Amino acid sequence: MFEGEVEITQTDNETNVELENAQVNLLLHDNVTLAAGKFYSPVGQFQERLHPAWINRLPDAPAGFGHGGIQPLSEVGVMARGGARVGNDMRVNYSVAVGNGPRLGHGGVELEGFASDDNSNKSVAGRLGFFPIPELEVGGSFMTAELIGPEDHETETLTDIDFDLWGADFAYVRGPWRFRGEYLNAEATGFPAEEDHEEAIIFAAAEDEGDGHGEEASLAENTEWQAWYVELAYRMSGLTDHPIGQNFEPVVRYGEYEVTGDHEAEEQSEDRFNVGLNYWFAPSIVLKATVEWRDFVSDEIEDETRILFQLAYGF
Amino acid sequence: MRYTIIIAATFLAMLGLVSPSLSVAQEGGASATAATDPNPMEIARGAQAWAQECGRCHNIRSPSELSDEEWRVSVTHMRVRANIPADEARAIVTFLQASND
Repeated sequence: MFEGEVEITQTDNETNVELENAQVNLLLHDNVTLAAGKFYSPVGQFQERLHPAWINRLPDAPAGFGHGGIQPLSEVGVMARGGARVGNDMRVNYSVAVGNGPRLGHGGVELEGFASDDNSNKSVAGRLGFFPIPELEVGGSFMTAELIGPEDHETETLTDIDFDLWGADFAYVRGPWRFRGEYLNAEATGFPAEEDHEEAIIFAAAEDEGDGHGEEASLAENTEWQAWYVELAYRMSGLTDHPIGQNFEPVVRYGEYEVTGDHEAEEQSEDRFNVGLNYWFAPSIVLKATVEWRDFVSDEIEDETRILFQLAYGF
Repeated sequence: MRYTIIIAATFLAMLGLVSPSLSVAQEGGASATAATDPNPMEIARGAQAWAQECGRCHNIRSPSELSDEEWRVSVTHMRVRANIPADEARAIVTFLQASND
């Protein structure tokens, strides 16, 4: 089986076309599938399962879970995954992936799948999910990788940066209720002391222009990230069978994204609160409206309140 | 205010590259037979799995939305994405194909 997805994003002044995933799946066994190519990161639940617009209950991703956050988005490599029933009601599922891994770049740690590896160290990531009852899933995730860091002027060699991530998530879905949450914690360690290198100059092999010099990256110090959210949605069909009223779905989400260590990266920290109302024309056609409050930790970035609308169709 | 409109274009090309005895797609052949002579127990099991597995991430879609062939493709995709055990995926296909007339 081959599957792929292209995402077209329209912003104020440009259109981006991006290959989100393109993978071959070999169904080796009832409980084992081997995937190869570019695939969504198995870390957590949002990116792999919930990010499509017709599934996501709000128009955007939680703070720290979208582009530029700490949630790994995709990977290029191979992955083994599957699920198995345990007893009559319980179930487990698993995903383990080996890939080219993240890199340091303009946005700090870039966690999108790269077609080539800039070092000889592959990343390993995975998730284990468990269903104690059919309505509840709890999961744990991890990722470990090595990044090419700044040049250590004492040794005149590039430093190896350790990148380690772990996370936990849950989802409870029963009748009209959808309650889910997720937590991610990551750290990049191994940067040389600040006086030992030119701040923010990264010599990334992938960006090598032939002279060994790559692009500038915004990350130059040991840094820790934390991101979490909880989200609750309720379909009004639980209260009324009115043909229009039952299609409404109020939703609330609160999340925080905190970066500590690198000064520039810390400015990304924010608290985000959404209150929204969805109207489902069909199971895969939804009009969303939400008010979003973004409270940035940095005094240099002004807090903002946004009103977002989105019409999504899943096919 | 920055706004983003996302148009997600998903295309699936199920090429049947896998071992025939193990794919949900191939077993649609068996399911096609089952559609004419469905196993009531398998259909009931599929209905329960359909509600639990599909509804976990997104709204449940009506069986009448897709044809037998389209359901085989869709459920195979979801089997991988949601780590659904193959026997449950087969039961879901059986239920959907028996219910989409």
